Amino acid sequence: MKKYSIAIILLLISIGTILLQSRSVSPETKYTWPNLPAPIGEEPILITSAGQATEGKVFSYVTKDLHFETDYRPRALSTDLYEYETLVLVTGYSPHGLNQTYRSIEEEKQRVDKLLQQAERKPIPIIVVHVGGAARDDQYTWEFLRQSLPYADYVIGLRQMEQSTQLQRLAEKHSIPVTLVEELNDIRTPFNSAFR
Amino acid sequence: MKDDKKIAYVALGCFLILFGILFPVQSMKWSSWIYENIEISLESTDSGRLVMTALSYITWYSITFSFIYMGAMVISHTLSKRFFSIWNQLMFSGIVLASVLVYNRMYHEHYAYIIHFLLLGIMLFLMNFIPKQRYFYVTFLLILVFMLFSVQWLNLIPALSNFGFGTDDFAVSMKITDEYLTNQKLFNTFSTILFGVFFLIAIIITTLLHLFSKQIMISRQYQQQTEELRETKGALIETNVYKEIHSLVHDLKSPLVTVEGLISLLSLKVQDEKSQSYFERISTSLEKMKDMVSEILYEDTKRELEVQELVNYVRSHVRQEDPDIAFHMQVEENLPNLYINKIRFARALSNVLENALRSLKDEGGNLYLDVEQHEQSIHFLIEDDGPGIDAAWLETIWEEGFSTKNSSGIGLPFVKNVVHQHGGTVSMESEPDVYTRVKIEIPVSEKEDEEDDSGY
Repeated sequence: MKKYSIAIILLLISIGTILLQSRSVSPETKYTWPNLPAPIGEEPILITSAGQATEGKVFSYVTKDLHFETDYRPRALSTDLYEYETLVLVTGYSPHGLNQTYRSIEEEKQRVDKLLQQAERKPIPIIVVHVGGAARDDQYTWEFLRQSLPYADYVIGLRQMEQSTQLQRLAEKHSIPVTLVEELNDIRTPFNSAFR
Repeated sequence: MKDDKKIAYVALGCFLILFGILFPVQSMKWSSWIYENIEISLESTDSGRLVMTALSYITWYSITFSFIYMGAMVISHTLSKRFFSIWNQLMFSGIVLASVLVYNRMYHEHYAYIIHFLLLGIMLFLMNFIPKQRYFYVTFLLILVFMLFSVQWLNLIPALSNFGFGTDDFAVSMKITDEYLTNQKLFNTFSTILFGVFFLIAIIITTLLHLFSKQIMISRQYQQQTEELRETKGALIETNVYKEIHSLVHDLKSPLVTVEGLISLLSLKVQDEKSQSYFERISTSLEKMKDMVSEILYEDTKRELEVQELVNYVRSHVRQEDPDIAFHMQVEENLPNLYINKIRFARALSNVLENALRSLKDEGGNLYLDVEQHEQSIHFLIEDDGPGIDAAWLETIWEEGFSTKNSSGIGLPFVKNVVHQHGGTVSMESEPDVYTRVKIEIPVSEKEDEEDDSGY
């Protein structure tokens, strides 16, 4: 039995981690806005990524299905904002995505910061979208969320996120309406409500 | 294992881990290809391409972690005294988890630790069934690769995302792309099936290897038992011959007494000087013969003997022809004479030396015989660097009938018996895979006054 002890301990740790994770995403009721009561944004829409994750591109395809006039420009600069009426920031840190841009995480943060400030100055509404869910819940993604939320006018995220309570609190702190949906396809309704 | 060899193995293990950790740097084109293909499959709504990309992702990570796991196994195996001990398992797990931590920090990745806890648990469990023989590393690698291919599919099951699986960049990207393309149906099904298939393959391989090694072990045991049976038969014949010789030796006493009596009668009859000297020489030879007969027949019969003479006598009786075994002998000069039963004491020493030679038979090594004086006793130290003896057996080896080789088990009890009869002590210490040392202490004593002549 002794020779199996480490294997059993490791398997128990795995089971414990699974149970802890499942508890932290238990379907407790999180009261959020189902959608916005009145539109806040106008077309054309600039969709960009904060962290260069694939979610930006996926979300741009979702908006295309809704027949919005959108451009997905993952590396958009503050100077590109002049032709758009709404900024949609899709958060999600991807080390491989960032490698493709030959930029460091600090440079990416600066780009996002400049974009947010320019949008604030213009002023145009900023919508922050986080569709990575429980899996994209790393430290760097949260840095992008904390960076962009003070400027945001509306936040849409997934209910499954481990720290969705934290996202809610952060949104409440900055008095931003927040909508949490079950899955990617459900995002269409709240996003639509922001424009129509 | 020698120190140089140990250092080389640890260096090899470190190299493997380093190679694994640096594999993403060396395969930047491959990782870029994976990233680009995720985007292309999204653009072209091609779920087939996404599946191909997923296979590539699994292979990429399997290569990375195979190196890390193999390196950790080599290091922990080298640094542990006993293979597959708790310490060995802990070290293996610790090195793997530390390497994954370094990997995550280095590349700002978020690879799920739960996969490694699970994989380590499964691998350590399966290792109990992998034969620890010559091809252990190849077998371990084969099972590891299949297990890596299996458990990594758990990263791509969207239903498990809530439980901490699939948190690395590629896995998240592919899962979200799959959610858009097939509403998670493709990966939930495909990944679960592939997880099951590879897991089953790994289990089947382990089971087959376990059964195969068991079969080999049984046939080896059978061979060994046949060999031992033959040896025991030989020993039985030898014992019978010894009994015959014993009775013959005993029968020698009567003619000896007759010869002695007749010689003394003749010496009384024939008075010339030359004949007297011959009679004297014949009497001396007869005395010597009587002593030898007495030593063979009676345990308590002892005589004074030079240590060097005893050692030479023993050395001439121990056959050592294996070129892989080096015999080192050191006898201190000017040692006092021993008062012993030469035949029996020499047999006891031969037993210990033969045991040591037998332990070195497979892999060769060094055998040392040192004789030195410590205060009022002579120490015989017999040491070998063979496989050693388990600590649990050190107490029981002196019991009659106990044997680790299924032999008669009378060798060491005989040694103990003879040494005790000479007022000495015998002890054994051993460290597995390092050494075995037998120490025989015989007190230096004056020749006993009373000669035991009860045999005459």
